[in-house]
Parts: sequence; structure tokens; C-alpha cells
Amino acid sequence: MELSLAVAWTDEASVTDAPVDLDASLVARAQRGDRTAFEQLVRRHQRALWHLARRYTRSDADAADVTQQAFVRAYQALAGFRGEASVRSWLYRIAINLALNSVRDRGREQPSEIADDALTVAAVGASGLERDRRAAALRTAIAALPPKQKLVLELRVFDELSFREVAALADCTENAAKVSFHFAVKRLRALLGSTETGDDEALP
Amino acid sequence: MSDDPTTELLLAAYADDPHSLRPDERARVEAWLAETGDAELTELRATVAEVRGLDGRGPAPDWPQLEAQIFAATTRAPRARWPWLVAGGLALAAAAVVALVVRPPASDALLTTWQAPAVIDAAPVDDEPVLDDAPDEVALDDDLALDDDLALDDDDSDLDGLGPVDDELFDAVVALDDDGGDSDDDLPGSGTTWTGWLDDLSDAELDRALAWLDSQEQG
Repeated sequence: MELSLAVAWTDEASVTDAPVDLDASLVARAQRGDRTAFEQLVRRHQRALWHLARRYTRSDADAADVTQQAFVRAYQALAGFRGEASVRSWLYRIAINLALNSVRDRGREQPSEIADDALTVAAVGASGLERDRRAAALRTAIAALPPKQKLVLELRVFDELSFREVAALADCTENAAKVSFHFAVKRLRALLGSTETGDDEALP
Repeated sequence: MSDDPTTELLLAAYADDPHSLRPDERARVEAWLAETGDAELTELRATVAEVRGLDGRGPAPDWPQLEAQIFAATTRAPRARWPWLVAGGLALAAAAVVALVVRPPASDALLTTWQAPAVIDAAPVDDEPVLDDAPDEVALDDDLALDDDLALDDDDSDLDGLGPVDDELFDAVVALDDDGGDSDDDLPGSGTTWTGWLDDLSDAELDRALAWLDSQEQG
């Protein structure tokens, strides 16, 4: 188990460390019908897509559904992929759209079932209470960010994308992505400050 | 020092990773920091670090199981071949348009009308100046030219087959003009619908023609 986990994390790390050309090469092979190449793409990106979807849907099951659908869509659209964006950006965009659809559908059907991360902090021992309270506050603050700032912040911090990739996914320029990131961090700082002091006036 | 008001807006990106900025942006930020101090940078850096410290990835699912589900789903899903379908559809559409433009729908009636002008065109004009005087000749030739273009897709035998009809009609018209139409045998063969030559006939010749037609019907 430990061995497979180690291998898995090695594979995942390779997504960011390996040349981007590896993805392009895998896609090219998959376009020619090489099934194993597509499976390699799945292995390289499924974790990132799942976590991305999880942040949107806040549901493990929905995240798994979105991840699966995203790869199915990508598989079906392989022939049309021209490499104008990176493979990772392409997959992320598919997953984000599906995740947003999932959230929208869930919102229509069962609005009360969307859990807030801030409310799902696991019970911990007394020594971790303060840390987790702070983490919960931070998650709440992130959730309260304007959608674009939240997207940019999460893609940058949690998905470790470059600002260029973030910009492509957020439909903005690279500079706009950097500026959105700045506003997001400043806003978080203000929100956390108001939480600490109980002063809502500190909110921007 | 930087007077660019946007420099400050790059500070969080710089706090996260100075190398996420372009060299010129990094230089502007560093100039700005040299002037204003790095207190804000320290605060932003702490916030970014705190966000990064969150377990943004949360709990992990059963990866092998998810992987198996994805493989199964993509195995079931047919790969789209839409680029080829689109290309094929466009080719078919283009072929259909070309076919419509180059070859308009041909009917038996249209083909029949071609036969009579072909008589004039195929006639030995040098030998028969009578036809040069026909008022409709120019128009007929124009029509014929158009029809010839339109008939390019047809089998050549369609035009070749007009030969006997041409000769028969031509001979009939000449005979009527020459001898006043003494012989019923001089009338053109059936199946020709071009009737312009009738304009050149006298009343007596027309009467004879009608009589001949009647006799044909009765026979």
C-alpha cells in the first residue's frame, strides 16, 4: 500500500515537473488510437481534476462524477484538440464547466446538501482546535471571495498553475490574473482581520 | 522607483513567488518595495502562506477505483470523429452545389427543345442561304450555345443522335421552299417541337401540312 501510494504521488508530481510536451505527446498518440496513452493522461491528471472538482462541488461523490465525465468528454473530443492550450488547461476547463453544471444542478435539486467546508472541519483534539478554527475561518473567507478572485486564488495556490494557465482558465489576461490574485489575498487578509477582532468594518 | 500605479497590484504575486512575474515586473515591484518598505509584502506573504497551508486537497478518494471507473466509462464512450464527419459533410454539400450549378435539372421537355435549334446549327449554312434569312436564327444560335454548355455533362450520344433529325427537318424546310410543298413526305418528322420554320410557310403550305398531319393521325 505504501509503495503504491509513493508511486502515485511520484506520478502526480511528474505532472508539474515533466515537460509539457509529454502531455502533448500523449494526446497525439491517443489521437492515433493509442489507448494506453490516454490512460497515462488519466493517471497524470485525475487527482488534480478530482481536487478541483471537489472544491467546486464540495462532495466526494460529485467530484468523482465530474472527474469521470471530464475524461469522457476529453476522450470524445480528442480528435478536435489542436494544442492551442496546454493539455492540463484543456482538461481543467472541461472539469470546471462540468463542476459548475453539477453545482447548478445540485443547487436546483438539493440546495441544502451543499456543505460548507467551514462547517465540515473534522473534530480534533484540544491542541488543534485553535488551528482548525483559524483554518475554518480562512476557508469561509475564501468561499466569500468574488467568484473570479476565488477561482484565480484556488487555481494558483491549490492547483499550482502558472498565472498564464490561470489566465487561460479564468478568461482574462495574465496581468489581470495577477491583479485578481492580489485583490483576493488582500481581501482574505481583511476578512481574517475582521474575524480576529470581530470587527466587520474591516471588510473591504 | 516606480510611478506605475499598477505595480502595487503585483505585490501578492511577488509575495507568492517573485519568479511568477516577468523580469520587468519584478524589477518594478522591487523598486517600489525599496521606496515604500516591505511591511505590506510581509503581511501578504503570511496570508498566502496560510492559504497554502490549508489542506486544499482535502480527503483523497480511492484512486485505483476512480481510475477504473474512468477507464470503463471511456471504453464505453465512442470517440467522436466529428472533424472527419464535418469534412465529409462539407465535401458532399460542395459536390451537391457544384452539381446544381453546373447541371440544372434536365427534363424531357427541355431536351426536346434542344433538338430543333441543333438543326439550324448543324445545317450547312454555306450551302443554304435560306436559313441565314431566318429572323430567329441568331437567337436560336445563342440558345443553342447555352444549351450546349448545359449539356456538357450529358452523354455525347445525345447530341450525336440529333443528326438524323437535323437532316430530316432541314430537308423538309428546303423542299417546302423549293417546290411549294408538293410532297407530304417533305414534312419534318414527329418529335420536333421547334415550330419557328412554320412562320416561313405560306397559307397553302400550312394547309397541306395540316392535311398531312390529319392523314398521319388517321393512318
